Order: sequence, then C-alpha cells, then structure tokens
Amino acid sequence: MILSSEFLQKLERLSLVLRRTRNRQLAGSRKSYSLGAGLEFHDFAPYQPGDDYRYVDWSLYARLGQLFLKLFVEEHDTNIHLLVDGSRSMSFHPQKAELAAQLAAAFGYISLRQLDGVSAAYMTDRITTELPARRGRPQIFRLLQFLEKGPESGMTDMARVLARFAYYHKRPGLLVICSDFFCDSDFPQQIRNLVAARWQIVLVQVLSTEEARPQLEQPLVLVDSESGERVLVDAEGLTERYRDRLERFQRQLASMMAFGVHYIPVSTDDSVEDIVFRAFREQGVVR
Amino acid sequence: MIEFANTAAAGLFAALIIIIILHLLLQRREERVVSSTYLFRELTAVSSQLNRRLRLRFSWLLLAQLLAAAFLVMAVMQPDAFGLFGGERTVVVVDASASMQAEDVTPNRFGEAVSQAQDYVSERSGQDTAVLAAAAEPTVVQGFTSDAQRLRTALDGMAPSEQTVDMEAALRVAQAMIGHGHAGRIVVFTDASFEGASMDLESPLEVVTVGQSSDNVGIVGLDAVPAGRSQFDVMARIGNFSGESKTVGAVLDSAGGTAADKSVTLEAGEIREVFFQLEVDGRQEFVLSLESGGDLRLDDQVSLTLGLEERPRVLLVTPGNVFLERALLSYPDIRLFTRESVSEPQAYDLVVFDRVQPSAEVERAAYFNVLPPDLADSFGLQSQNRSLTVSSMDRTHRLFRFLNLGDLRASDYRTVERAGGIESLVDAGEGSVIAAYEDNDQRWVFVGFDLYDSNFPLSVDFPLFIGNVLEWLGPEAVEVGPVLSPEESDIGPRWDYTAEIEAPGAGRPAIEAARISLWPYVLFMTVLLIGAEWFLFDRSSGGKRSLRQ
Repeated sequence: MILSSEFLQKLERLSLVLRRTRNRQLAGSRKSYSLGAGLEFHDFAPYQPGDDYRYVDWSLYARLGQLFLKLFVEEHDTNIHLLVDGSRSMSFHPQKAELAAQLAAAFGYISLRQLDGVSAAYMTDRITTELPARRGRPQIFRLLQFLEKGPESGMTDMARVLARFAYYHKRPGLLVICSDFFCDSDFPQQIRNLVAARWQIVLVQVLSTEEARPQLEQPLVLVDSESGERVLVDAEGLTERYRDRLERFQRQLASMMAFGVHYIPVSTDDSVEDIVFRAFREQGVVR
Repeated sequence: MIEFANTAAAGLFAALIIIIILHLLLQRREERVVSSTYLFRELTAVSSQLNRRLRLRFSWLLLAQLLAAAFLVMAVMQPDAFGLFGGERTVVVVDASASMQAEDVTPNRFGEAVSQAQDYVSERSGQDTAVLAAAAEPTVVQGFTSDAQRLRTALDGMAPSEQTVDMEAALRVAQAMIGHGHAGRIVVFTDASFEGASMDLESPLEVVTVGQSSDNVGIVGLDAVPAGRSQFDVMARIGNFSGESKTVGAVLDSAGGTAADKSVTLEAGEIREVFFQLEVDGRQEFVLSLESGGDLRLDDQVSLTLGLEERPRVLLVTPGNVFLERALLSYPDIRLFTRESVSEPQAYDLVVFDRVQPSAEVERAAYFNVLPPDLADSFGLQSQNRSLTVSSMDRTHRLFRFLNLGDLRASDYRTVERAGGIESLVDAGEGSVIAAYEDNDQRWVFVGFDLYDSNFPLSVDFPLFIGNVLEWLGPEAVEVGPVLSPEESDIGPRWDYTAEIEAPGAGRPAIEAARISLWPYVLFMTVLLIGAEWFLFDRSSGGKRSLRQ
C-alpha cells in the first residue's frame, strides 16, 4: 500500500478546510451556511404558510400556542477530484510519482472519511485513467489501489486536460492537482477559469531532489524525457541560473494564491507525513 | 646539454596545434536526460553557445595526446645528450677565404682542406664534432653531431669565398660553441695566409696547413678616371707576392679584341701601378688579365666598364651665375640646360640649384646657398651672419679629390647640422658649410654660401670641385669588378701559430661515448604514453572513444 496503516490512522485527526464549494444534491457531513435538513439544531423560526410541517416543534406549540419551526444546519457533501500528473517527467524520478500518489491518497482518505465523494485520475495530455467519484470510507482501498498502479507515460498538456475537466465537471468542488507543472501550455488561465466557476484548487508541486537542486558542473546537452527536445547549456553559473529560474517559476505559480488557489511546493526530500501535517496545515488546506 | 640532430623536424610540432584544433572541433557535450527541459530553455542563449563552443577545456586525454605527440616529434628530432657525462667536443674550422683557391695543391687548397677535414671527422666517428666555415664572417655549417656521414656531407657542401678570412672571429665562435668548462678542441684547416689570429683559447688548438707555395702575382687594385671626352686613364695595381722577381703581361681586352697590353717586371714583394689610356665609344666592357699570374687564378682577372650610353643632362637653376655656368660648360661631356625656375627636374640626371629654392627634394642635386624646405627642416639649416672661418676639412672625400682649398672665405654663410647621414666636408664650428649626403639612390651636395660673396669661384679649385660634383652626382662612368685585397693575393703562410698548436692527432685522446642518443628513450616514453592513453580512454570506454573529462 502506498500509505501505511499507521499513517492512515494519523490522518484520522485531519479534516479538509473548504470554502464555497458544496454539493446540493447529496447530503453529506459538511456544514453549509444554509439551513435545512440536518441533524444539528440551529434556531427556531415562526411558521410561515407553506413551511414543512415535519419541522414544526409541537411541544413548543403546546406551551406557547404558536407555531414555530425548528431550524437545522443543512449538511452537504463536496466532490473531491484528485488529478495526478502521469506524464513521463513525473515517472522519470520514481520517488516523485510515488510522492504525488501518496499525497493524492492522503487527500482522498481525509475526504472519504468526511463522506465526500472522491474521484481520482491520472493525466498526461488527457485524462488517461480515471476512478469515478466514490463515497464512503471503504472506498479508500479502491482509491489506494488505483493510485498504486502508477501513471502511464506521456507528455503533459495540462491546459487541455483542465479545459476538458471543466467541460465535464459542471458542479464545482475541490480539485487537487499533484504535478511538477513543467508544462508549456497556458494552464494558469484554465485554473483561473475554474476558480471563477467556484472551484477550490489545490496545486501540489512535486519536485525531485535533482529538480530542486541540480548538480550541473559541465556543458551539457539536456534531453527532455517527454519530448526528446535537446537543449544546450553551459556549465558556467548554470546551477545558480537554474535556481533563479525555478524560483521565478514557483513565484509565478504562487501568484495564483491571490485569487484563492492553494499552492504547496514539495520535494521528494520531505516525507509524506511531514508534508501533510506541516505544509498542508500551513497552507490551510487541512486542520 | 641536449642538442637535436634533426632540428628541421621541429616543424612537426605544428601537429600539436592540429590535435588541439581537433579537440576543439570534436569536443562534445555530454548528453543528460532530464525529466523536463522546461526550466532550462531560457538558460542557454545562442550566442553563448557559439562563443563558448570553441573554448578548450582541460582534458586528460588531450594532455596525454599532446605529450605523446610532443615526445614523438622529439624522438624524430633525434636528441643527443652530451657534456653531461664528461664528453669532449671538437670544432672543425675550415678556412674558406679567397687564398684557399690557390692551386698549388690538387684540386686547390680548399678542396684539400675539405678532404683532410673529412678524413679527420671519419676517424672521430661517434664523437661530438661541429663544422665552422671561416671567411669574412664565421658560419656554422654543421652543429655538433656524432654522425660522421652528416659531417662529411656538410663539408662537401662548403664552397670557398672571395673574401678575406677573419680567423680570430672564427676561433672565438668555435670556443663559444664548445662552451666554458667543457672539454673540447679546435682543429683548423687553413693555408695560414693571413696575419696573426692570436688569442687566448680555453681549448687546445690544432692547425692543419694546406699548401705552402707563395708563388702568386695578382691584380690588387684597379681604377679609372675620365681624361677628356671618350678617354679614360686606367690605373692597375699589380703585386708580386712570390719570393723572386717576376715578369708578367697585363692585357686589357674588350669585345673588339686587345685594347692595350703591357709587360711588367716586379721584384719579390713589389706592388706597382700600371697605367693605360683607353678610347671608349659609348659604354664598353673590358677585362684586365695577367699572364703567368701564379698559383691563385682568382686575382688574375678583373672586369672594368667605362663610359656612358649618352651624355648626362644637367639643369642649372639660377637667377644668373657666370661662375657656375662657365665651370659647368667647361665639361663637354654633359648637356647643360639653364633655367631661372625649376621645371620638371626629374627629366635631368642632376640639377644644380643656385639660390633658387626648390619645392621638393631631387634625387641628384647640388644646392648652392639653399635647401628644399624638407631638407632645411630635417638638417637644421641656419644662417650665420658673419664671415666664414673654416675649422676642419675632409680632404679624403671624393668631392675634394685634387682640391687644395687652402684659403676659403665667405662674407656670410649657412650651416647644416652634422647628423642624420650628413658627411661634413667643410666645417665651421656651428655646423657644416659644405656637406654631402648619400642614401641609396639619393645624393646631394650642399654649399652654404653665395658664390658671389666668396673667393671660392675665383680659386683654381672651383672648376675641379664642380667636376667632382658632376662625377659624384652624375651617372657612374667607371665600374670596376671585385678586386682581391693584397692580403688575399699574398698566398704564402704568415700566421704564426706554432706557439699554440699541437700536432694533428697528438692531442688528448677523445673520451669515448661522449654523446648519448636519447631518441630511443623518448620513443619508449611515447609508446608508454600512447599505451596509457589507450588503456585509460579507449579500453575503459569499451572501444568507444569519449572526450568526457
């Protein structure tokens, strides 16, 4: 299993922190800001013609002689979509793909425990394999099994994937994307479109040690594992220039936090437990 | 000390540059597959790629190849070590002076000297020996080598000169070649027909003399002067260097046959002038020959060319000067043109400027009390407003030939600085009053006073001076071929070397194995390097050569 049972037990303590997203079709365990059918009492309200008789508090009517309705906090579920990058750039460093799957699984477990619907998919330039939305804690085994299978190699086209994702998923929810985001297409625009459609987005950027701190000390021809593209680089100051470029790229991704996107850069140097309990908490994704 | 027998092979060091160029061209970047090149695309500019592509990077392979190539070239250059183990060096000096062409031995002294030197180096095969040619300047014919065949070939390629020998300089060079503190010897093959070359030599000197005869009569001087239109007085100096009285015939031949001949009897050691008068039509070539001239033929004939194709054109630029005009007109062998201003000076063989300043220099010119602006600036022309007092005079110059110039006066005068190639003929303390300048084809004469303010044109020297000026500035009417000096014609032995020499072969025995050929060791090093390079780079990479660092 990609997540140990001890770690799953620790995850029991966590819950997702979500804003705005809710599912009005199915009741769930997540409180909504609207009042209606639910278990948790909220307040009384005078009866108005047309109100549901089932919520009339008859004992209060017996004492006061007036009809009052009992108001409950209506509880909804949220659809959690786990989108894991399955391109060649992720599987090139196996620890990277494994960490991405583990983080997605952690999200899935926390969500399933809260009775949210969880779907998972591997993407390259399209959705390659998909696990339809499931609800309920027992579904965790199917989710872990799905994520454990690993990605199929291919090229990344995140903008295309997100565009199609938005087309097929009209109802907003939480979208967790685990990827390195090494992608030419204009996916930030697609993310902004999803945010505008009331999606909550969590971007988990997974980088390997070689990508975070490359050792480049001689002139090289770098070959892209996905496209086979060759890039000539000189050794002089390359490590520093790469570090600057990576920081600029991460600042570009972090800039999307301005409109509510969660951005969590992680490295394969870190343990999945440390990432979930420290980085996810710091970002306010879980509590 | 290490010397290379085949220094020409040093050109093969250019191969090292080729290796470096090949490395520059072939050096490849290592390919490395990365997960994504997305972040790298901005990091490499095209200009950067091009600029840095030819930067040579340190490579052990390159170093190994350069070392292997360098050792290989050194092996081809055949390095020899000597002196390191106490070896002896010998310099063979062969006299290549003109007297060595005397034929008192067969084929001549030089041929005999070369033959004996070849025998000498053959006997010393395996020893360090160099060959030096002694003439007016010593020339190293072959550097130190133990290869007797190479030494013999170098000796075969030598030729005698027509110059006097400077044996002292040759011995000094020979000693320098041996070096201080090294065991060595100098062996001279010479006819010893030169005045002493005594000097302190660190190395022992051996002298092998070739030819002992002194039987020679030779032409040791020849000159001619015009003696009127189409006439020349020819003066030949003939010397008898043999030990007895000699009668020889001196014949002047031209293309048309014998022009003049005389029989001369000379006492032993006598040098006498013999005069001829010749009528010359235009420009004519003559050969003065001696009959029965003795063992050295080189000084028995001298060529002589007399006359001019046409009379030289002389331009006089003057506001009017009766002295100059009369003096110039007294020479019928010139065509005189008189102008008041300069026009087309290049159309004349020489130009005489009298108080008229030319705008530019003329190749052949006489300037009276004037200089072109450029020359005036260059040579510091200055007016001295006082009467002339001559401080010194150079009577040996050709321009002052036959002149007395005892009482030269001028009321005021001009001087030029005595520098920059100026020959001062008459000096007045502040500078030169009469000066001559000669540089390649350019010649000019400066007279720094107005002839009308001087007693010079009234003296008998003036027309003679003008004649000398015309001769010096005008086309050469007399050309004399090379003439041997009396010292070279005197082929008898004169060098008193007896106090310094040892008999040939009686010197110290040579130390065997003085020279060690290093090329086999260098070649071995080359093979080792190539083997190491193969093992480290080819074999370890499975036969696929890599330029990886």
